[in-house]
Amino acid sequence: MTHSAKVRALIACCALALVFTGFSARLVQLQVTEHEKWADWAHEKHGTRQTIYAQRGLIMDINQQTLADNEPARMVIADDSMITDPDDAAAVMAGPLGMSETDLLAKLTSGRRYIVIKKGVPEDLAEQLDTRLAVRSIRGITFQQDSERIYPNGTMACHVIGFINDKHNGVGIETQEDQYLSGHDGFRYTERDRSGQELVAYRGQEHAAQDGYNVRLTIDMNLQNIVETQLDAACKQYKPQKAICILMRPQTGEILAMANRPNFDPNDVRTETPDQLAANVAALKNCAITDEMEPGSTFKMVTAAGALNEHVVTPDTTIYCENGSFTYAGRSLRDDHPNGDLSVDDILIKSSNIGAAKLGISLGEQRLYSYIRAFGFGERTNILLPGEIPGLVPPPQRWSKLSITRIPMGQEVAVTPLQTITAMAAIANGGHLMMPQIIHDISDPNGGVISTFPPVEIRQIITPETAREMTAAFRGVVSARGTAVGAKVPGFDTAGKTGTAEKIDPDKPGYLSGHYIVSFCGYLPADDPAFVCLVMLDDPHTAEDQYYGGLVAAPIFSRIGAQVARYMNLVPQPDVPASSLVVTQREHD
Amino acid sequence: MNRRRHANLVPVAALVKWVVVAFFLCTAGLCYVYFKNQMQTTGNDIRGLETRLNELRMDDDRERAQINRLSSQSYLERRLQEGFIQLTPITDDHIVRLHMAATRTPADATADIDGADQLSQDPNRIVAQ
Repeated sequence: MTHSAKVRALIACCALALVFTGFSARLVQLQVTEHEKWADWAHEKHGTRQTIYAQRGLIMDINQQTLADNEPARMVIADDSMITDPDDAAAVMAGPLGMSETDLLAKLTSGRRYIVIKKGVPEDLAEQLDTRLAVRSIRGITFQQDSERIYPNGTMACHVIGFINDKHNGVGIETQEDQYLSGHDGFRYTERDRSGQELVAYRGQEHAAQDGYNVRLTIDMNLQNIVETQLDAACKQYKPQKAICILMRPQTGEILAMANRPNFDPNDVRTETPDQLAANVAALKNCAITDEMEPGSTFKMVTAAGALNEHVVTPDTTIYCENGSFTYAGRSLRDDHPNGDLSVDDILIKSSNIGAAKLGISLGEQRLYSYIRAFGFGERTNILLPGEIPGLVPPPQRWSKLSITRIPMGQEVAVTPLQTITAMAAIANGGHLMMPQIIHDISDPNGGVISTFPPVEIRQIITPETAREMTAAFRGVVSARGTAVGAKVPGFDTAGKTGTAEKIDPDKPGYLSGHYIVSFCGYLPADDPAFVCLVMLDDPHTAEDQYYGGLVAAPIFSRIGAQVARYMNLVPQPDVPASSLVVTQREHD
Repeated sequence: MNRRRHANLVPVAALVKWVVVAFFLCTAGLCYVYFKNQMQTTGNDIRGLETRLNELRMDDDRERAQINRLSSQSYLERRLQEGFIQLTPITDDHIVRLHMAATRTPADATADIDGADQLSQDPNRIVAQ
């Protein structure tokens, strides 16, 4: 080899060495010096955090009938980085998804890689849309698995079941037990290839979703159906502003049925905007726990029970009822039907206001107040439903001179319907004030019970003997001598108390003329009650002098009671024939 | 003659060594590619099976939702009103009671609570403080 050849070879080798050194330097730069940067970039480009959505738990009734379920649907997701022509994509999707093209375009150009376009899209629509996108070769739109909450029974038990929307606004059990129902979403880190297909081999950390727990209510939909049907009929007949009916098992405090009018369909309400919800708020309220009202004569049970329990009187003690007009503290108190001497039983049977006032005076302010509070008025019952209010029971220090005659007959206090039925249940079960229960148990998706709700006794209010005496008087209320003969359930020994309260004028002190809240709260069989039922109608439209609880609410109770007794397989008593329901005398409270 | 033969000897041992090394490297490379492909194929299979499982679950959920809808009180009530279901109310004179004890509740944990006296003996009962 000549010298020049050797030099050229050396130069070539050096040049090659330099080139390879350059490549090596670049490789070191990419793989070592800037490793983090490029690894992160690659991960961002191909790696994704896939959310594994938890299935929301079911709500069921006591017989495991599903009240709130999940129906499969699709969620439309867009990846901004893969959409080459957002205008075209928006034009294709806007119509089928029911969205405006402008809004859709704004979403598609938001610069994010995970854009939720719409949730709860029906599967068939998703398939059609997928085909149309494929035909137009539009990439970056995927249809993820989703589910839509459905309520198979529509409006039935809507205030108990409730709903919850995406913004976590809602009512009922759906809201109250959301932490149990919603479950916990899982996640999975994974990578995708250029076409967006997941590379399963490159899956990273994974955390499985935990589905929500199932909530089983104490509500029995068969009983709920009976109550709702009768309430609908009552609303059709009387057109009240509101109507409430509650069915409770007195021994345990379990709510067997709870219905309100007006009502709503959670399938529709769930998707409403906040403004629409605000406009519909009257229907969304569970008036049984969120509305307070003067109870009227049903409250006389507290006065009479207190007086009997304190041995201030006996059931046979005679009280002079002033022939219908009693002046106390300069104000006159009247009975609709004048009475002379009445026994304590008869005061309840004929619902004498003057008799109740005199019982209250005999009992005294402090003891009367103690019994009102002992019966649970003025405090929340702590039922597991949202929005319960405590009602209003002023302490004796704030009472006027007149209060001792008005509170015993159910004025100057405000109570919720649930408090009223809970108090009546205490008399029915022998004096035990039970906490109202709406949830029977909570179980995991495999059926394993994780939490049960046994009966909770809050306190013993009155002795069993006093409770029996009260029941005897309440039997009389439903007899031909009483104010609620229409509440009688054929074949069953029925007990209860009517209530007719004037509505408070919201604009000025005093009452609205001709507007009443009528109610009947009763139970059967009287000796060993299987259920207590409260029927309450706010401002029913009736003929003049036909607005009393005994004439409006009591017959509704009777119809409900007859059907409930049949469903519960209660055995009719042969010595309580239906023919005994001959009305010989009609009196009202 | 002997010198030439000695000079042209093939280094068999070294050759074999390099052939073995090359063969090992090739096999390792091919195995790597094979297993990589297998992983990809298995991954695709897994993804396919997961998709199928999800579809079956969704079908199951869909059917269950449909059953719940069709067996709901509201739906049955509507069908009854529309005349698709005929029910005849059972009158009291058509009921024969085999025992007089009232079984008034669904079979649940509270069915045995018949009265206040029994209730106070219920071991599951909680008394609020």
